Amino acid sequence: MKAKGRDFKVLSAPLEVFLSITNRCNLGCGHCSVSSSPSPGPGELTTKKWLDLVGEMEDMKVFTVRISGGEPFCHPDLFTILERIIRGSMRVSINTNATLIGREEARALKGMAPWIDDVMVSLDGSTPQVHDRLRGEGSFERAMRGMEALLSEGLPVSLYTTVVRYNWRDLEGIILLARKMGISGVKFNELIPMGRGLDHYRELSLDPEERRTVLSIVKDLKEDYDGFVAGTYVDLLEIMASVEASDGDLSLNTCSAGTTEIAVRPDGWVVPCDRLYGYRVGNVREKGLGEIWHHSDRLNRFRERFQLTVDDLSGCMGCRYRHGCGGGCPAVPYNLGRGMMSRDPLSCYRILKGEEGFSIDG
Amino acid sequence: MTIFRTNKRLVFRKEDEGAFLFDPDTGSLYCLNPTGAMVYERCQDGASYEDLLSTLVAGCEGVVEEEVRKDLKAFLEEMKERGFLIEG
Repeated sequence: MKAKGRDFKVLSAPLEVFLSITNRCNLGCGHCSVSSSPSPGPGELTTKKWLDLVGEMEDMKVFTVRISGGEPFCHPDLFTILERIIRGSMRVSINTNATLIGREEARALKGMAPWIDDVMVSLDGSTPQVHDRLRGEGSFERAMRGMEALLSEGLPVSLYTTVVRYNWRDLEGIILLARKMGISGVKFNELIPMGRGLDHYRELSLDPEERRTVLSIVKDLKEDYDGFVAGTYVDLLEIMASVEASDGDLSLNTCSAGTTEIAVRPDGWVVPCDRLYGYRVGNVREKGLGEIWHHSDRLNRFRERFQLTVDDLSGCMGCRYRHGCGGGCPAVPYNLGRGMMSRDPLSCYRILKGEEGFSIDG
Repeated sequence: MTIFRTNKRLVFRKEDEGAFLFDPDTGSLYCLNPTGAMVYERCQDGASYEDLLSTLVAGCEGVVEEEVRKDLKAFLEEMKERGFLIEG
């Protein structure tokens, strides 16, 4: 008889909603996970529709909202949306490249500071040479000015670094810069093969040896800067420790997607999380978010995953490392076109150990 | 008679197995078990200690009243200390 995964109950509403309020972005990074564009994407929701949606989220008693894009500061009504969220007794976090934040924007955010948990800035290097190679000339200086404006108004700022071939040697430099500036922490995340990041995956991703070196670096940095370093590289270290101890069960990870969190794309499509950008479970133009949360067949089918085990994933059955592995993230195989019930090659211990190779081609 | 009332600034959200209490001013999220959720809900329109005690005793067949009294006092104290309930 097959082992059974965890029992699972659907909450009355998500705890957090991720809102990508526009696909527009002033940068055109090769590692962008959503293929942002210089102008708004087709069929983006109007500000009125976003405000109606936030009203529904207030009625549902959602607690926190993460605003993202594209670049949210490209949206002409960002502050109107933020004010409505806070008026609805929700707290807010913002993902941004910070290059469009000046004194005026920072001052406007200051008035909302008691309800802002985090302004997470994408910074991919501690110098213009490293950062601008990935994000375009001048973007480092502009991001620095934006972060300084935010910090001078007392706003909580953290960093998000996508670790790729061109910046992995600079991780400690990023930490030192962040600590000098008074930033609260840094996430070191893997490049996810989705959006433009998939198009540029061969060029940007680490080779297996570099990846193992980065894991070792992140392990040391985590010890040296206790409490300051997080992100998917840290998650991966925890998975490795669990697999090496062989002390876990066979259940698949219960992540936040569709359990405590849901995401809404600029065009109104609801997806389980921002990484499963193509797995559309309903559109807020046609149905309420609450109805989608409870009654979307596709969302409920997705949730069935959490009751399964690693043995249910193709490529994992019988693996000697499957105890405590958790099966990784379903978004990675999904975005590679392999379906959600395949192993996640970015979390696979066999691949990490070098026992097997990994190619985005299959 | 002391009346316990909920802090109206908090968001109280019932779930199948209890409730969440969320403070939007601090970000604190607190989970209540079904009994705690029931007590908190009763306090939304104001409830006295005696009201709460009699409701709990009536709903908990076979329990020792002294135990219920002790647990309720501890719960109300904690809720007051956290600012979730207001006395008066």
